[in-house]
Amino acid sequence: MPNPKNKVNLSSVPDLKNATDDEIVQILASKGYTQNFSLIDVRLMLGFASVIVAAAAAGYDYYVGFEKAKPFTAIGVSLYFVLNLAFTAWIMYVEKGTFYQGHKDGKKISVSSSAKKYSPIYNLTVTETTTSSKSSKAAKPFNEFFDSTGYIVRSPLEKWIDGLISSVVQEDDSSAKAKKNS
Amino acid sequence: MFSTFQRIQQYCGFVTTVTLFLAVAISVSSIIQEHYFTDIPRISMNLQSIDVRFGKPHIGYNYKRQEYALMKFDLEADLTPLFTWNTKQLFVYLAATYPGKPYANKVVVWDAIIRNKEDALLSLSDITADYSIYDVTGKFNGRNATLSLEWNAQPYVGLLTWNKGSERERFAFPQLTPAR
Amino acid sequence: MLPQLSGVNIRQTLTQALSFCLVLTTTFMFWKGLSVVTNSPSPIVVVLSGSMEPAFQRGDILFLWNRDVRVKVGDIVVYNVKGRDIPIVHRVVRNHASSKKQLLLTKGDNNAMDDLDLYAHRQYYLDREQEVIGSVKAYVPWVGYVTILLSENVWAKYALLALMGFFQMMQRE
Repeated sequence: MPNPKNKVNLSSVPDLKNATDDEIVQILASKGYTQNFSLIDVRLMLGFASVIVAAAAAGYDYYVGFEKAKPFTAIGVSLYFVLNLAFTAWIMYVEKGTFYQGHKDGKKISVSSSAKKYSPIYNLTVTETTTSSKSSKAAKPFNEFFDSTGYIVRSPLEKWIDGLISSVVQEDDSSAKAKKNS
Repeated sequence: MFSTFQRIQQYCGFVTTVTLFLAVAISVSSIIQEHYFTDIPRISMNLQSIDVRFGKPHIGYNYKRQEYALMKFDLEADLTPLFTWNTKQLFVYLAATYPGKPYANKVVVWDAIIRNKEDALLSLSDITADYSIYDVTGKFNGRNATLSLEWNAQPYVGLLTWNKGSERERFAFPQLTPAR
Repeated sequence: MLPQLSGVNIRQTLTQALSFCLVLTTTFMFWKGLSVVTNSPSPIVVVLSGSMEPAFQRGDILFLWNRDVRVKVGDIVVYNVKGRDIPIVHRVVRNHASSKKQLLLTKGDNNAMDDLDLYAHRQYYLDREQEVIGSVKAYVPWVGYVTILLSENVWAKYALLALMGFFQMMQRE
């Protein structure tokens, strides 16, 4: 059943984190969550905008020659680095590790993760974003959901995230029910 | 396999960073040494003779027939203080500067490459200039000129530097030697 | 469920493509930025010939600066003769400067003759503004030899590009 393509390099923390993030996205999809791609889309747009600026500057310089293109090249280079800065700022200050945003049954959640360099611990945060912005943080070492050959094991991960989601979403339900009843 | 690959990658990155730092440190320290800690070289030069003739200054199809000047000179220079541990070579040259309308002119008449400190003590007499001087206009018209000794220090890594001695030898271009 | 997953997959592919593109474009923009700052179309050059030995050997790297309005005798300049593509790195041995232009004669340290034969027919001097693309200010030995190997072996160039692409695919950060 395990797909050889999905084997993860156990000595690379970035690879482990990315594989875990991807697995969580799949788990949430299988549970009926609809993903909201707006964060990712803005990031992609900023990134590709800077690539287009670079390509345009390159093309113009190639066709017109260095001397004639110089003022435009200068503008292009500055614009490129501004866009790149915005791109980096978006990732660092807006996304802040968020790799999934989605909703189900009217409840929106946001999931972010982090893993320190060379550390075997995966930090996971689930935040409820419809009303309360209550978030639940937890950390587990990667070896709790990776087997020794490098394949991810879904069930412990699924159990873990189920627990985290219910700790932020269910309490809203019970408080809503309590409101209804009173 | 994965972790070996990563180890190799990180090792290469480390080596690159260290080399970069080393190169920068060497360049900066030798510049500081050149600027603040070297003595001024002693130089003395003397123009023995200068002769202006008419014809092709050098063999070659691209030279026009015009006035050109040949010189003989003596040169004594102690350039040893210019050598630092980052000096790969010293390109030394004797240049003649003279005015004109509309061009200000400067021509190298002799050069030498010094590769170590031991060879940097120059004591040359009766040297014929390697290169003759010829002007853009083709004529000298008895203009005044100045000789100066200058050098370019080439490092093993880092910034190239140029400098010159303060001694000047003044002369005037003589009139054309009539053809015999 | 399927449309969901393909949305994820498209974006994953785009993200990987973006990382790859950004590596290329950032390198390129740094190069162009350096070009604009130094005012030279080619701010870093690799020494290809031995005509400036023993100062420069094949494979050395030179850093150029092109904002000096006038270059000086003794400076080492890089120039393109009008109509020829190969840049030449030689030393200025003569200079005639007016307020309007500067005429130069160059010579390789390791050559017996000056560059007069290299210039165009009936051209006796280089024009600083038109033909000089920079003067050498700094120097690093040997590092450029890789580029000489790449340009002289066609397969080496493709091998290097394939290797770079392979390494990029293997990592996803």
